[in-house]
Amino acid sequence: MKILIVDDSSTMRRIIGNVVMQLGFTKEDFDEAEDGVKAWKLLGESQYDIILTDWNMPNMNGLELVKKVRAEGNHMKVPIIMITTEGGKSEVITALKAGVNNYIVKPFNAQVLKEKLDGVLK
Amino acid sequence: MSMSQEEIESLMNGLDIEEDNSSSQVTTEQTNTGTMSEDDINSLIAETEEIVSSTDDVNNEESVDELLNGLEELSNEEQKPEDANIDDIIKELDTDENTVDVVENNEAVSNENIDELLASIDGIQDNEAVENKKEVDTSANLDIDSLASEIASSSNDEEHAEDIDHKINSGVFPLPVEEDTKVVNQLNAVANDSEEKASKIFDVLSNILDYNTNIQNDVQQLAQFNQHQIAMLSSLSSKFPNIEAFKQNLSQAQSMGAHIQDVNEKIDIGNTEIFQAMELMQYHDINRQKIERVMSVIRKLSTYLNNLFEDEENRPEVAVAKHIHGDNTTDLVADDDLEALIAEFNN
Repeated sequence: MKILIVDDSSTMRRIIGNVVMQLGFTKEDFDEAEDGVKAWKLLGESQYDIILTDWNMPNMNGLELVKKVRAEGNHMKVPIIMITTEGGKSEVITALKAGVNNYIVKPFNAQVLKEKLDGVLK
Repeated sequence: MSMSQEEIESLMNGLDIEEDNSSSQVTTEQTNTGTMSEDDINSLIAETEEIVSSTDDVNNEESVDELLNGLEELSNEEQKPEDANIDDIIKELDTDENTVDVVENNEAVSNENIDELLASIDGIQDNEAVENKKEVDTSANLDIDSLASEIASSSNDEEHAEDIDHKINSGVFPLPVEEDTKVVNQLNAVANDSEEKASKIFDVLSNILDYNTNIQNDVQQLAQFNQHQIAMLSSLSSKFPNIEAFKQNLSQAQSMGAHIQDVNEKIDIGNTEIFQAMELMQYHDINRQKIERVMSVIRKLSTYLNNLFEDEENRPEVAVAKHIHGDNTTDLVADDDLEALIAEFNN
């Protein structure tokens, strides 16, 4: 199981990584990218089983990344969970329409992420 | 405005997006931009097949208002350090005054000592009245000195205040406009610094977790050793029931096992607390994004103001008159003075 964590905040990437490790994954099980551009590069180099991405990021934001992933490449069917501070209804709908499989509003706890991961990996 | 996880969950379960019928729901969506309850979400899920639109405009307006309020608060906060600086300066002045007082007190003490010395010498007591007179004079002088110093310090404060006013009016104070003092740059620096420090805090927490893991590994070794001891002592105790030492050691080993278990549980509780602290550090990212939102508003305001005051025709700079009739300037030349000046220069 390989996970890609995309967030411009290094703290946030570490928090998500930590939560993922609490769920039984190891450091080797996930890669990190600080924006959509770097994430897209990693997606071209490796195969991932799930993508956890933030929304607001420089260069290429999470929404653009989701649209790109759903439109082209080898990860068109890979589950994507958006983890973001954007808690507005319209944003949630926009993200879902773009192709995310689940949505988490920051701040979140390990249990929420676990449930969402279980949900999309069923 | 924002949705809870449950609401999103409900939305996730029910959302089946179709583009076709969405336009009819636009108005409904725009009116329901507030925080969603569980029921709202459920009804939304039922309706989301037709959903398309968003409420961006309303959100933007509200968020801009919030940001502008935040901006005002920020500017208020920015003035605090200056106040603090002024307070510090005043405190320093006060301390200087106190130092002077201390010196004066030292002088008074030395005078008293001299009086005591003089009093201890026989035959000089007759001059006590004269000495007292001197002492009164000295204390009077001291009072005058302290008054003078107080007046001087108060006048210094006034000068200082005037100086600050002058600096503020002339744009020197609080901060000259430079790359590192521009508001957006400062906010950016704060956000980056905060990110750096948060990363360091995370390192510390991770290290504590690693230490705890090492401790738990050691404790595990102890537990295994203790188990072997218990097994051995149980065997010995059953084979030699008359030997009291075996029984006592078995009992101690068993209680030690309970202690080891207790240590392990405490470390687990500590680890849970650390994980919670790590989760709470998400607020760093949330706050950073709030700062970035304020920065965005400032940039937009700056662009707007630049556009507002922009002179697109690039007119050449016209020389501006310094003194115009009707100005309340003190540096104006009266008619008589003007004539006198002309006459003087002609000569």
